[in-house]
Order: sequence, then C-alpha cells, then structure tokens
Amino acid sequence: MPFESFVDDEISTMQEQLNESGRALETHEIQVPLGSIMHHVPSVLSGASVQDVINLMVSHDIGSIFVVSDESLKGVIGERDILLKVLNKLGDYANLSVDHFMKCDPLTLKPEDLLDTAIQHMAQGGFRHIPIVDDQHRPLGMVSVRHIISYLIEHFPQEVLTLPPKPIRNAMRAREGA
Amino acid sequence: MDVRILQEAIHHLDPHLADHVNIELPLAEAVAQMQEVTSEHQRGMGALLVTQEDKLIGIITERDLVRRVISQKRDIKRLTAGQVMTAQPETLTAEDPIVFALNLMHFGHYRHIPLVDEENKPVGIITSKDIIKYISQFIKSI
Repeated sequence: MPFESFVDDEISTMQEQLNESGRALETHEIQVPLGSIMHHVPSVLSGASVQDVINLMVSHDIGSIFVVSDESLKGVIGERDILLKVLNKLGDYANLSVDHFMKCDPLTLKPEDLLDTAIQHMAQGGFRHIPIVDDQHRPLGMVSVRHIISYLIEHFPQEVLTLPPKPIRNAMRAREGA
Repeated sequence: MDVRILQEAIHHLDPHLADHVNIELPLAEAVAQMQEVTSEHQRGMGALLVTQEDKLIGIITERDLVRRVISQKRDIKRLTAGQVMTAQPETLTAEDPIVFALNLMHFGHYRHIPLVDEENKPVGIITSKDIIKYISQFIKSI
C-alpha cells in the first residue's frame, strides 16, 4: 500500500541519517555556557505574599520564581512547593510570607559554567531548575530541564523534525500489531 | 554524546509506575495522593493520571492545580479529579523511542508524558527529569 511504503521510506531514511557518521552532539555543543541558554525569571522580595507569587506564576506562565533580599538570591519557590506545602493544608494562605514555603539557598551556577555541569547537577540532585547568579549572588536567570530539552531538540533538528506525525505512528503500531 | 542514545526505547528511562485515580474521585483525595512523600517520590508527585473504566482519560499536573484551582480560589472540596484534569493527554508507549518524548515535551511544553498499553491503559509516566538523568550518563561527569 502506498501509505505503508511511505512510512517505511520515512523510517529507513531516519535510520540512514542516524547511521551516518557525525551524528553525535559534539563536545563543544554540550559545553555551551549557561548564560547563553538561561531564561528570565521574575523575582519577588523576601516577605512577599504567597498570593503575589501565584499571580506572577500565572501572569508570566512560569513554574518558579526567585525570592531576593537586597538584590541577592535568598530562595526559589516553585509550583511543587505550593502543591506540597499550601494546597488543602492551610486555610488562608494567600497573605502568608513566601519565605515560609520557598526552598532556601538553592544550588546556583554562574553564567560561564557549562551545560554539561548543569545536566549533571540536575541528575544527581533531582533539581528541575538551577538559578544562575553573578559574583554578588544576584539572580541573572534560570536554567530549567525544559529549556535543556529544547536546546537538545534544536541541535537535533533532522532526527526530531522528520519524525512521522502521530497518526502515522498509530497506523504503524496498528500494522505491527496485526 | 551520540544522538543514537535518543533512539533507544523509553523503557530504558526506567519509567515510574503509573499512579492513577478515577475521574470521579474527590480532588482533595487526588491532591493528598500527590502530596504523599514516599521513597520513590521524595517531593511528592508532580502529576497524577486519571482513568475511566481503567483507560487513561486525563492527567492532573501541579501546573493544572496552580492555574485551575489555587489562582482561581476554587474550593478543592467541591471538585472532582475530572473537573481539573487536562483531558486526553498525548501518550507514548514504552517501546517508542526516547526522542519522541523529547519532541512532545518541546513542542507541547509538557513535563510529564503518560505511557499506555495497546488498550490505552496507563502503564507508566515519564518526566523531563527522567530524560535529563538518562542523558547525564552519556556526558562528562562533574
């Protein structure tokens, strides 16, 4: 069937591309400085309310927020902290200080540190985010698991973008199961 | 790091078993399950699968809870799992290549992807953290 042969062609093309030499992500690509892939994250001042944090998360469509004091990073508060420590546990949490719920003194890295270092810290520590700070410990940005995955995808465009779309995959599966 | 490591099947990520709840379950009970700290989930669970007649029908993530419940000041005691879930999430099987998961996470902005069997019953869940952990084995250590 023409449809099945199209799928077979796609798969074999993918395999050929993968088997070509030079499909490795080179060392220098993994060693990109974190300053070039970090993204902006808003901050609240130490003492801000939980409601302020929730409003910022929703308005910025972001999962974690910096907490600062005298411009220096004091902690990070994320959706998981809200889920674990606030939801259905406290009656009127909206006006409580974020300081009670944030993760204090998180592991930080510098903008000149490299992506592979961040990946190793995340894997070993189970972190989803690593704040990037300057020499005065002022937050400059965040490196998150999601942005690392996006970075990897952007450096594997061939393999990822030529994947058969889902309906074709489902048809493939149905055929394989037949 | 060789791109071919991403062609391996998702079961190489050692996916977590799928914790799931029925669509009719009161949300407070579903949330309590997510908040539970176990040796496998030391900071609770960021997502819970929702089923109807044992088939996957939705997913509740911490993001759904912040956006659809907390920020709107809805009363958790008056809601069910089905009223808050994201319906019909994208799924993969444990035999799909890891790169499919990266692709879905990147383009769909998902952090969790349910794994299902051929009858659409949930068998596991993978997170973006699982992928980072897997990749970390293939790059320079610190």
